[in-house]
Amino acid sequence: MGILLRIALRNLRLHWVRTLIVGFLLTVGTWLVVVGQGAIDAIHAGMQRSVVDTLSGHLQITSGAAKDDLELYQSAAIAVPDLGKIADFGKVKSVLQSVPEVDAVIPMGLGRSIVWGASSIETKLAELRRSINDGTSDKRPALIAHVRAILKSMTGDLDKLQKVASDTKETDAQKADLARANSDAFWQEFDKAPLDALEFLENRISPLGVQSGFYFFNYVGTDPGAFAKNFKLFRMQSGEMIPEGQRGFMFNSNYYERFVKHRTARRLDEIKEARELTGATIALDENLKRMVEHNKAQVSQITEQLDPVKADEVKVLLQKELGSTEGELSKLLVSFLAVDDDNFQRRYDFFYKEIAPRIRLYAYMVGDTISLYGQTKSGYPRAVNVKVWGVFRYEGLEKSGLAGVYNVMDLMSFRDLTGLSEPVSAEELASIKAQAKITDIPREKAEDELFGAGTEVVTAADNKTFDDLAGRDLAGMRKLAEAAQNAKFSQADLEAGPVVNIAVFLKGAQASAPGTSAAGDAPLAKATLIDAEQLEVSRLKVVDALKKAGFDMKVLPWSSAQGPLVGGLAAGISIFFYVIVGLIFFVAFIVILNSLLMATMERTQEIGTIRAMGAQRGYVIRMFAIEGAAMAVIFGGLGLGLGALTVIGLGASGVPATSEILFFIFGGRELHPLLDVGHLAVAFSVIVVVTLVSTLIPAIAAARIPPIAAMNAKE
Amino acid sequence: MGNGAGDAVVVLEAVTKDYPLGKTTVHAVRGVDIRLERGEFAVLAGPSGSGKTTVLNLIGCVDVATSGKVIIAGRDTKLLKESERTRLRLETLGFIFQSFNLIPVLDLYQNVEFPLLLRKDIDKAERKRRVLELVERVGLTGQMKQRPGELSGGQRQRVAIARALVTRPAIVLADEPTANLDSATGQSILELMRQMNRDGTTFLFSTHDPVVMAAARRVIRIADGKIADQGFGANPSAGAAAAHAH
Ligand SMILES: Nc1ncnc2c1ncn2[C@@H]1O[C@H](COP(=O)(O)OP(=O)(O)OP(=O)(O)O)[C@@H](O)[C@H]1O
Ligand SMILES: [Mg+2]
Repeated sequence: MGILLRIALRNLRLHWVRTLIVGFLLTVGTWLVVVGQGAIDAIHAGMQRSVVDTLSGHLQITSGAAKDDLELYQSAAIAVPDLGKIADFGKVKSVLQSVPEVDAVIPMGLGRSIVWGASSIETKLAELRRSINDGTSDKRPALIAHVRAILKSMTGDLDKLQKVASDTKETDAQKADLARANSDAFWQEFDKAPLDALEFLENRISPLGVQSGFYFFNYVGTDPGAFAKNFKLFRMQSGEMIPEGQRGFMFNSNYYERFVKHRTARRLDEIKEARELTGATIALDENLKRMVEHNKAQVSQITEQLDPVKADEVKVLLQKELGSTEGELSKLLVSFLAVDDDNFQRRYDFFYKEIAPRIRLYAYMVGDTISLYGQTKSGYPRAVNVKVWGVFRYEGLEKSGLAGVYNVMDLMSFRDLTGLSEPVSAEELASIKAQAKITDIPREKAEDELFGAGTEVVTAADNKTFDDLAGRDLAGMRKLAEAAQNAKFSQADLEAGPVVNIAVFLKGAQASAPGTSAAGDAPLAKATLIDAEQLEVSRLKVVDALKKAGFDMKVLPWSSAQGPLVGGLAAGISIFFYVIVGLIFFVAFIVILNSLLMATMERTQEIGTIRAMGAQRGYVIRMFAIEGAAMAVIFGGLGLGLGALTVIGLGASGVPATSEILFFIFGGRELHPLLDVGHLAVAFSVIVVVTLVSTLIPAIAAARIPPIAAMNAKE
Repeated sequence: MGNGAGDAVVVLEAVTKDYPLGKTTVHAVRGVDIRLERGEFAVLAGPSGSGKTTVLNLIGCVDVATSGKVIIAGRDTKLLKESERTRLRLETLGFIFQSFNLIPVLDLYQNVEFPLLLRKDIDKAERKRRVLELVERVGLTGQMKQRPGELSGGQRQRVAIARALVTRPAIVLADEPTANLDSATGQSILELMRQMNRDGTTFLFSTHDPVVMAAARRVIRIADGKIADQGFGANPSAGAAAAHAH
């Protein structure tokens, strides 16, 4: 053995170029296996944290009759999955809590509503309404001036539209309304009956405004207190939690920043983020350039929001900032927003210091009310008004779009909005109709009946001033909706009703949250996460308990409940890694095979001589195997060492997430790969197998060299 | 043929060797009988292509006869498996090659030691003793740590002789051991082999060099794959062959 090793080492040294090439491949391959596995493990832990501690819990329970699969993070799908319903959450909860492994049980329902973005006229009218309600009259003249300025520009827009519209009858009526709203007479009357005037403006004029697009609001209807307490990455960012027993809505900070924020501000944020996160520059990055151009092209989004007084203030400030004498605000804004890498930070700060406070930075702010439109299972449209109480974030996942998919709403509003408390099947509906002696409700009337929280038919009241709107007591409806929105409920109401799905946290799994330390992302020990086997054992106990209690339910582990998107992502990363590792080792395999076959031919006489001297075939095979093993040990060892150092280093410093999706995959701002002896063992086994297999073929070829080969004179 | 089979280390009886060569067959050896007694120092002489190397390969168990019997140290090589022939080589035979065939990555000492490492019955101390003794006998004690590439041709062949003898083989075979050496060096190598022969090791080597033939005690002549002369005693044809070779 000693001599073989000596021969092997000498051969490696003699053919040092070959040795270095093979050695490089083997070292890199081993390094990659160690680092890759450390990273993949950390990614699995990170994804578990991103899924479990934001939305799913360890287990997700849905009705056994659910038609669709629960896919928590299947945000790309347009339709909310049909998960049926769990009729009585309280009963299921008590069954679940009888399982010793169960730690917390959280009611849920996932939904999505379209919300039409408020046009500038709507926003201003809402402010006007607020000032009337508050009785704060000092702001009113500025607001009215602003409203009238908007009305003027709307008339211009409508003129343009009329030129291309086919149905001029409709636009004629609209023009008449606008003319009326624009008339001095209208505003002279305004103070006499401001609320009636507002109703006219809101109902006839607002719909003509250019809406700032629409939003898809995804939300999870839940018990906000239990949600905040158990989803360990949950933190309040601004505003306050929805108080217990009250209805309301909380924005997810990621959603809020990305979709609700003023577009110009959002783009500035994105440019800042890209510059800081990835080191991109406006000069070189096409995407950033495009954002700058968009901002320049859309200065009206700022000017529209400024009343004449504020517009003037901003103009003066910008003139000073830019050293310009330009008198037109929009031109000043265009040159201000034409940021480059040199002035970006200064202008960004200026924007937030001077412009942002004068505009509406978010389409919906804490304290606002949102009208969410939904549809019951049986197809009736519903609407619910919810108050925005606050904005929450997920620690470390603020920049993850996936983690930002769901906003939070109270369960009661959710039930109203989705008609969850009502019968869903045709038979149930028919029986109810029969009981109520309702034969048929035309769709349009159904809307009236089911609109908002009101199931009573709103009685018509006289409204002489705005006769077009007669037939509806608009103020009355508004009051009803407000009453519903402010209605309190007890914890018992919340628990006794139906839910769509239930999140379950198990005991024995320590917090996988990085904690509330200032550092935020303390390295996460693998042991703090629940492992798959333990989870499965507990899951089966839960299944059992539910079955015994007579419930037919699906109990999914978090990994399935998250939906194929996230699981696929994890699988994709693993596959990508294995393909790369496979490729490297395949190349190593080919290079070793090839070079050893060449070496075999070169060493034909030497091998023949050894055979002639009495070495058996096996000895020759061993000679090659030892050469392979020597390479495996030397370069594998080097790769293991470097890999371990890299993992330890990265584990300590963390790999920063540089793209939106990485935050979710990393489960935070940084990935901390973990060194595991198992990884080293796997890496070493892989390299040994690869070298031995690639050595085997040349070794067999060498062993076939006959001893007579020694006799062929060479010199 | 020989008298008394007891001491014969090599017995070839009616040995033929055919090589297929394309569609034809080369009859390299056509019925050869050779018998070598223990301690002989014999030369196999003949013109190029006469079959010297073929005969040596058959005796060296690195090739098998087409027909006839090849008996080495009492064992019929035809009846042996490949692994057994290898073992026979290890235990009974020593080889000296025309191009020395040292292992380039090993130094002088290691090259000589190598065959002993293939044997399990010789311990480390014994190995060292034998290697040092032989290295001394071939006069290379001072070059112990040198690699083959750092040695002259003559020195290399001395190393090869030491290596062939280190296992104390019954027979040492050498195919034209001096062909790659100048005549003076060849002479000294020949002299060395003769010394080794005094210990009782049987030597058989091939040559077509008359000077080498003159050094041998027995010159077996081969021509066209047949033995022309077994070379016993003061055979008058020895001189004729030598003259012929010139
Ligand atoms: N492997 C082989 N295949 C075909 N023919 C062969 C082979 N080996 C030897 N021969 C032929 O057998 C004959 C004897 O060859 P051999 O090498 O034994 O002669 P030799 O006496 O050693 O010649 P030299 O003095 O040139 O070494 C030659 O005609 C040679 O061409
Ligand atoms: Mg020859």
